[in-house]
Amino acid sequence: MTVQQESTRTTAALSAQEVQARYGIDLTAAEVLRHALRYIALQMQQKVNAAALSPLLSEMNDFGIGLLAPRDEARDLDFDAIAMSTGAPAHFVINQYYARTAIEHWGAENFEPGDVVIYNDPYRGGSHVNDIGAVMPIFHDGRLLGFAASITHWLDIGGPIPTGFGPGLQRDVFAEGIRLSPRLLYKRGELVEETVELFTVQTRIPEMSANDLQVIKAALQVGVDMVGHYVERYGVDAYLGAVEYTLDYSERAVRQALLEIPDGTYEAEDHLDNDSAGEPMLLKCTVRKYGSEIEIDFSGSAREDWNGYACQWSDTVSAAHLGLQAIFLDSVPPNAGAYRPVHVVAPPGSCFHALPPMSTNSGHLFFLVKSTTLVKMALSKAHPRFAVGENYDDICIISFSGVDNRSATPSPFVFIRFPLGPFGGHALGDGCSYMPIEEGNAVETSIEFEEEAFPLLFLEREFVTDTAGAGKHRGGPATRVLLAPLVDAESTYQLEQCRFPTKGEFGGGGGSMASIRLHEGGLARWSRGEELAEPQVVAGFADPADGSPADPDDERAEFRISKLAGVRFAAGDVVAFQVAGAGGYGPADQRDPEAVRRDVRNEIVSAAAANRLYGVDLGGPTSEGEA
Amino acid sequence: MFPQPTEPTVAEPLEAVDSDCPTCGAAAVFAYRVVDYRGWLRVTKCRSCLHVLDSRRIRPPSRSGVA
Repeated sequence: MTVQQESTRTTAALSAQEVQARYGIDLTAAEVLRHALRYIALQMQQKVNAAALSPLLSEMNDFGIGLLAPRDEARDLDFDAIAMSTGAPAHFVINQYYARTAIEHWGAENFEPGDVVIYNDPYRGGSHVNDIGAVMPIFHDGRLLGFAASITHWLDIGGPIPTGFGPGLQRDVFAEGIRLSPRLLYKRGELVEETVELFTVQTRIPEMSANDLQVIKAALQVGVDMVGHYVERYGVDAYLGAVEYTLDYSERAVRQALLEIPDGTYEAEDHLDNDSAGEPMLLKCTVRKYGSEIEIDFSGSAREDWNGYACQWSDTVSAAHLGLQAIFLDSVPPNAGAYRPVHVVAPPGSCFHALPPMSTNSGHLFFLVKSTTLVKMALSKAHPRFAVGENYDDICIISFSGVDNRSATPSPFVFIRFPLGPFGGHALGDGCSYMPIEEGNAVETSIEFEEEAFPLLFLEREFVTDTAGAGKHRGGPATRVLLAPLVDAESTYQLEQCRFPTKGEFGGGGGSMASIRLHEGGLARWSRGEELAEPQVVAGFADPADGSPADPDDERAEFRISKLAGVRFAAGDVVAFQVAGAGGYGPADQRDPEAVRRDVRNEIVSAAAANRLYGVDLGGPTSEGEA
Repeated sequence: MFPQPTEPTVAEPLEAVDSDCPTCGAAAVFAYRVVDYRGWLRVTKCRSCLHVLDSRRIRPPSRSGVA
């Protein structure tokens, strides 16, 4: 099938007359409905937040939910994503592939009002098995007007590893948990118990699953009902015209933003800390930009590797879009129109395009983030105003699972936390100190909630002095979290930048490396107000003789893999989880001395480092050794 | 099922096209696979000005085998 490029290439705003002529709707109604579509998606999100039991859904916003267009060749609509909520942006683009592939598989003609079809096969345009996709048809007077669609991150999906993230232990996709081809969760509004039982029997979260599967339906129903409301008010033709208008609006905005980037070819290179054998993985990206078109090419990157070191092509494409949109000064409403100007090259068999049966559950996170970073790094070369130092570059994980046996009735638990981190300095200012990665936009679960819900304590969550990449605009500092499980637990951890420091841009310095360290039995000492004993390196560079932290430049130092599952920690151990510091922007000697003094007051920079890196003498010690 | 590639890095194969770009004249026209907003395409495209000479929908490579 030859593809016609139907979309508009214009970037200019349309007049009211042009809107009427092109979409058959007046400009005011078009704008009302464009905003209404986004509002509907936000209402759907609120339903999930309010009703879900999983903290990933009720607290973190680790899901995406919104609306799809119908198929209408005359209007160039093909079940395209027309509005998404503000949850995890990683899910914004994925629905263009995940939901549309599921609809094709099921057959659009086979849907009936009240049906909900769910699926989680990552090899069908998805991300990873924990991301449960669902679609519900929107009918009006018997006519299919599109779908409500969601992707929700399930806390556990069965398989050998609690939480599903099993780097090093899940060799292939068959070791990842239950994998569902599209099937009915609701049939004409009635719950299909056999589908629910797949979750209640095969996952570690049966009660949570039984509730949250029904929450999905309730949230999708909100979308279906609200679209029905607007169709009743404005009519089908106006609704479809507004859908077209909404998609074209975002396309024009992206094309206008692309015109701001100088034409050219820009390249970037990075590494993942390790593959399954512990060796670094080369990651490359070439961005070709001309006019209002752009091509993002990941050729030259490392091959896929077993045990979780690869991701789905749909993840890579999604992340490439996010990397591009991250450099735009103005945000663009996320929908399929925004994705029209972009081509992505994802070489099959590379780590950015897993071929079955590779496991991608962990790699989903590694390479999702890395592909966004690579696009930003490449476009940083286009013009200083687009440049940004490297952020902590990870959706990092620390999980504990086991049985809480502190009471007379032992109960199993699955805890997972996605610590946040800093962003790089940029043309306009310093990097943020603590925020979610672009793909996440997720709220960190409250510590009070987690201490109440799970057998663990948070002893500390603090910025770490002298970890921010220096620069005219410095990067954000690293954050360290001290966690203590109160019962014996099995852990998964995934943490990037433990082998390579983050990079600065335009003369800015790199940030500090990440690490995980263990203070064995440290909780007892902490409780007595004593200093924690010297740590053992869990992830990062260690002295092979005794496991203590080692200088990465010491040739005797050994690198301990920063992504593993099935690691045991004992009750009362203290795990120190420190993300990377972010890279700086511009030469450090151009930094405003008053900003340096403020950093010292805030303990982001020590007095010694202020002198050494920035040449600002605060009258204190001049080297770390004198501190 | 697909075996792991033997080469340490992987690049998209570019098929040379015996034609200069009709838009910019560059000798940079190749045929290769890309992903656009609706899925996979095999395009004949200029890598200089990004003009697309031809574009056809294809199945995702990961769905071409057993999955």
